[in-house]
Amino acid sequence: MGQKMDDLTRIPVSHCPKVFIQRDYSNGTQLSFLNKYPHELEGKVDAQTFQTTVSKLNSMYEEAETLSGMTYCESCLACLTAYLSYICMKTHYEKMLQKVSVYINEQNQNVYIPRGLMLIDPVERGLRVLEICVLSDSSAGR
Amino acid sequence: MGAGKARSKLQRKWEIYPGKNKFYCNGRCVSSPDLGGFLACFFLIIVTGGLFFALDCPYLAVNVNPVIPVIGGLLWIFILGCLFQTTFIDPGIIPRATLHEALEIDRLYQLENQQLQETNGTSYQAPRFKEVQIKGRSFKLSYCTTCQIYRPPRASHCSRCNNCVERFDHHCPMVGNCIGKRNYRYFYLFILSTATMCCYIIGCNVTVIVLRSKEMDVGEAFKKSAGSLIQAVICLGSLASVGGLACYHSMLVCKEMTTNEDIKGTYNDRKFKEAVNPYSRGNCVLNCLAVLCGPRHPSLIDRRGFVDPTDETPTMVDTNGARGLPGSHHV
Repeated sequence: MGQKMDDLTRIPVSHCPKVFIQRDYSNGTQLSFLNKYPHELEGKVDAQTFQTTVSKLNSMYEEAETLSGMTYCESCLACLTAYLSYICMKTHYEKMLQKVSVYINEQNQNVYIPRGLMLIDPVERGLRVLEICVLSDSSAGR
Repeated sequence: MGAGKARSKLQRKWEIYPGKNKFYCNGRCVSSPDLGGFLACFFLIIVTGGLFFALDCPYLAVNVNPVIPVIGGLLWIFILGCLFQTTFIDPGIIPRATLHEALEIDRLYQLENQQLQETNGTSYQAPRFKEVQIKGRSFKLSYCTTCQIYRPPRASHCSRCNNCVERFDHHCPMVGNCIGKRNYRYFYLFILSTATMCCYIIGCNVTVIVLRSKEMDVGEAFKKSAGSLIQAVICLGSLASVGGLACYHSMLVCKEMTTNEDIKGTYNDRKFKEAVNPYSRGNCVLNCLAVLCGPRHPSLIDRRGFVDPTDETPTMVDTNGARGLPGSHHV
């Protein structure tokens, strides 16, 4: 939560209009967001840019959740230490979520904020939705 | 200095948390409001373990094998580790919706049901269901009026903790927490290892009594191993309650089902036509691996985060106050 105080998140976001991307449950309960371009974003960002971002996010979440050798080792190690290792160890999942957060920040800086939009890291919304704030209605569209 | 002072005045998010859960260690640990069952469990484990290590282990280490106390000790530590994980980590609580999110859900629902409402003549209806497709089958997600979200598949609202919990299994008063997505593994390993430990201790007790009765008179041997008899009684009692549970949960783990789904018969094909569990990986071994070695999901309630004083929509407090829920006092 160290990034909380940087300039990016100082933009007041509580009153601006928001677009919500819901979770995609078509493959079960694993974490992914619907990759459907919402018409509210028309004129702000093109469908392809948006879908690239969402599919990149989804693939990062998939990497966090799949049963890889890494997760097996981690779980077995934790089990052998009677789960005490979790006190001092960062899990693969947490590292991936940090990467997602870095990626979202970077996308915001380069793509979305110049176009008057801002993505909110889904972790801040309990991984329920991907929230997109519409910062200004100055650009064409709507 | 000023910044430091201001920071110390900031509230942590757990302090204004709207559910009934209790928090410990400045928000690091979560449990259900009632810890009585946990304390009883903990007391039993400590007492039985203490008796076993103090009375039987020295005798067995000398007369049979010094490995016996070592195995017992490792099992005992493992049980305590699992118990603490089950009781004091977040079971997979889904944080409540922000005001914006709730309004959006409501708006969409009203849009979809406009026609229906016009024909029925009703003016406003709170959201109820949303249909989603999971692996080609349609499932209904019900709307939770407390959390103001559509409950994700497999989630359920725990009335005792007043929260929605992901992959809700059941609320376990004995460990003092809900059993959900995040702590099911620890709960399962806890009951499994407890059942194993009970068998192990009973086996040791019997060995001690048999060996002693060879050395001396049988009555004398029983008199000398009164502690072993107490342990055996406690362990038999525990085994009766935990053993069945361990078998039942082993079956559920193999099928990748939750107790909640089993009780409701969600995938019971006699109750519902062509009901198939879409979460099963199709193979008993894969299901076990997924439950036991899957990734540890992060906690979604940011308990130790600071409440943003500039945020003018304190939705958590707001919705609670408006509804007058009993969880509105902060522990």
